[in-house]
Amino acid sequence: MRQPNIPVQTPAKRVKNFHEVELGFSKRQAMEEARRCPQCTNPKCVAGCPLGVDIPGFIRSIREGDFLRALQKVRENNNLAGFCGRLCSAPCEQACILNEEKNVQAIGIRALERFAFDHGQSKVRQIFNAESTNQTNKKVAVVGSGPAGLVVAAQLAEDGHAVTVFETFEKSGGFLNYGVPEFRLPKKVLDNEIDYVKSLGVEIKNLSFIGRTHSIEELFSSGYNAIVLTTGAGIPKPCGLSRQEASGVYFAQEFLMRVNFAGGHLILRPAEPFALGEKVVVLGCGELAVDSARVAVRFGKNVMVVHSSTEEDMKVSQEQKQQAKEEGVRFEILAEPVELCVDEQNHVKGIKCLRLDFADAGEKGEWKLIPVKDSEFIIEADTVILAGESKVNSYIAKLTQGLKVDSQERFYRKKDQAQTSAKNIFAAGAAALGPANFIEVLSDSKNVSNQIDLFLRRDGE
Amino acid sequence: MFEILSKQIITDRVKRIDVKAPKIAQTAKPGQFVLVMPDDKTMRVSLPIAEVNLIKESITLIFCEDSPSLDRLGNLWIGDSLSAVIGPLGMPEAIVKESKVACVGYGIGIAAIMFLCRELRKNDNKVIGIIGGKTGKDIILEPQMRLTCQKIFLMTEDGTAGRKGYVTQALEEVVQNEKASLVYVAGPIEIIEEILIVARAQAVKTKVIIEPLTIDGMGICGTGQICVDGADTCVALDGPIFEAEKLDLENLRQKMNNFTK
Repeated sequence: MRQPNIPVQTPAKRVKNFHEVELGFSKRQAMEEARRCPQCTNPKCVAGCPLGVDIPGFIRSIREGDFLRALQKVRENNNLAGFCGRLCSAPCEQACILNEEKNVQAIGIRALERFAFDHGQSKVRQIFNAESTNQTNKKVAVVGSGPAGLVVAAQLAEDGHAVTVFETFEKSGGFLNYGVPEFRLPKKVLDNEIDYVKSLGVEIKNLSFIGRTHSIEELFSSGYNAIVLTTGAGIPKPCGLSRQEASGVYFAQEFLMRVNFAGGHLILRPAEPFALGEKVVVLGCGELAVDSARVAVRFGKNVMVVHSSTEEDMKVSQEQKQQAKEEGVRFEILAEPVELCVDEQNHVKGIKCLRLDFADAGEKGEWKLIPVKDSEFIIEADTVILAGESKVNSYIAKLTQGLKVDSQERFYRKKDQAQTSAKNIFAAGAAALGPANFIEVLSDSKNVSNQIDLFLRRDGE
Repeated sequence: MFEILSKQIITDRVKRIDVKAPKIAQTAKPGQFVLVMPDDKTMRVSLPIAEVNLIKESITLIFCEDSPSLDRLGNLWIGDSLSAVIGPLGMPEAIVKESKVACVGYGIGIAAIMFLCRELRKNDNKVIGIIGGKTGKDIILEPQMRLTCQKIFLMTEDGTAGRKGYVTQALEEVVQNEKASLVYVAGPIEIIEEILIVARAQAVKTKVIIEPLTIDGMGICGTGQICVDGADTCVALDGPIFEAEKLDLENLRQKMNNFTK
């Protein structure tokens, strides 16, 4: 699949700032791109979209120059258009029928969605503002204001319930706030979308850590009919390497959190207490790893991403990889880290790796990646960022009776059901799925909110 | 919200502030801590709740200005407001009843142990305070500790206040003469280690108050992951008070040293 041509900042320029890398279509480009859409009668892109957005419909509105209507079309099935237009892995583009033709690019659906958001947003709030909520007299508490929490809150508010979101941090957005760098999701877009969710009648209570500052029982006794756990899957798992506690070793979550909270100020104020060496090595192959590497590059560091899979197996989109390479991130593929090397002061100085290669180990024709004999080599590093696996933030289960988690510490849900093992408590998004990609989280949250809506309406009868 | 009601400069780097935070003041339990953001451009930092004032609905924070965030916090004055105070966080400590408890605080660690002493006293325990520091200037909260504890040992390494000597000597005496059955200790990691050597020799149950090295209080940052009982544990969630036998001291020392570098 060829990538649609979307204007971006030049690499030389963007490594010196935290502004958004993709600039988005101009009006003319967007309308030209929209005109390329064949408007299939049986659109494959809609089938490919887990949220079922009316893609030909909103593209038609862009083509006609009615951007507000385009955004409304997107919002019918996707409340968080602003995020999706930037962070979605765009399965719709892979499903686009134009991929079947030679030398033709798929329609840039994601970029068009983003365009619809950017150009329709300013007008949209006046329309939704007047709608009042709480027609059903049911109260819902949503724990966590990450992508899943916002989708559930927005959807349930639209369904006429009174929704309150509880967020630990002083700023809402959860992972989108602390985990996604500003050059992929500007804070302004995040604030706009949160304002939109609030305009639907959702109340967001910051500085409330459910389990500590308020307990689940407290929420029920203050009249909430249902509680939705959308705590996400952001807790880092130890990577299993020895000497992980050496100085100069950070988890990617901490790294991104510190940079995100300080924002662009960090470049101007290098005195922040976060020592970053000249040679930064990021271990991992997911979005977290590539994001951390790209942030480190913006501090003028020499950055290498080390991972044990092939480049095709990395869990990031082609364009992100491409952009990272242009910015100067080097990728060391097929290298399995085995040990962290430290100096006398216990500061990390390198990583011992083994070279991997495909081999037919059992001579059964099963080709697998296995370490090459005597292939140990050391990659020099003075800062190591661990961007390995993460797990669900399910600490609340320890404090709540009857709330069960499964073997991978995800909230236990019965098959195809939104309810957890505890009465009137639901789980949505990564908290129930485990680490998942953005669009999966949104589609799960959408399903869960539909079920909760049914539950609340049934409960009232 | 989060207005500074009073401020006291204890030494040139150690400051004490009372912050208005009604909800936290009402619900805080001993052992818990708060995350403080002096302004919205500064990294949040964890501080123990030293005291709670239910009449003024305020909490007392005592800190040494050893990081940029705490520097900012130290520069705020009465009437200024903090950007955010998140809490109370951490696992509340289960308070024992009717026994003899020794509480060891060293330097800034006295702030972490003060609230616990009060609650212990309320629950009919005999509380013996052992506070110490390098010099007399390092001793904070001395009058409050004198009021709270039935007996107090004041130790400085150069003899400028109280007795000349180490807190470990006082602990040995307390365990032998007073037959204390439980010891709480808070302070720098070197002191904790020395105290644990004494406690182990005297076979007395010891609990350690660890500084929660967290920037989010939920375990997402992964900074405060330490090894407890062979498993990776988040200090901010399951701590900050742990039983000494379950701690991997080597691992803990590493972590603490990284943070202070």
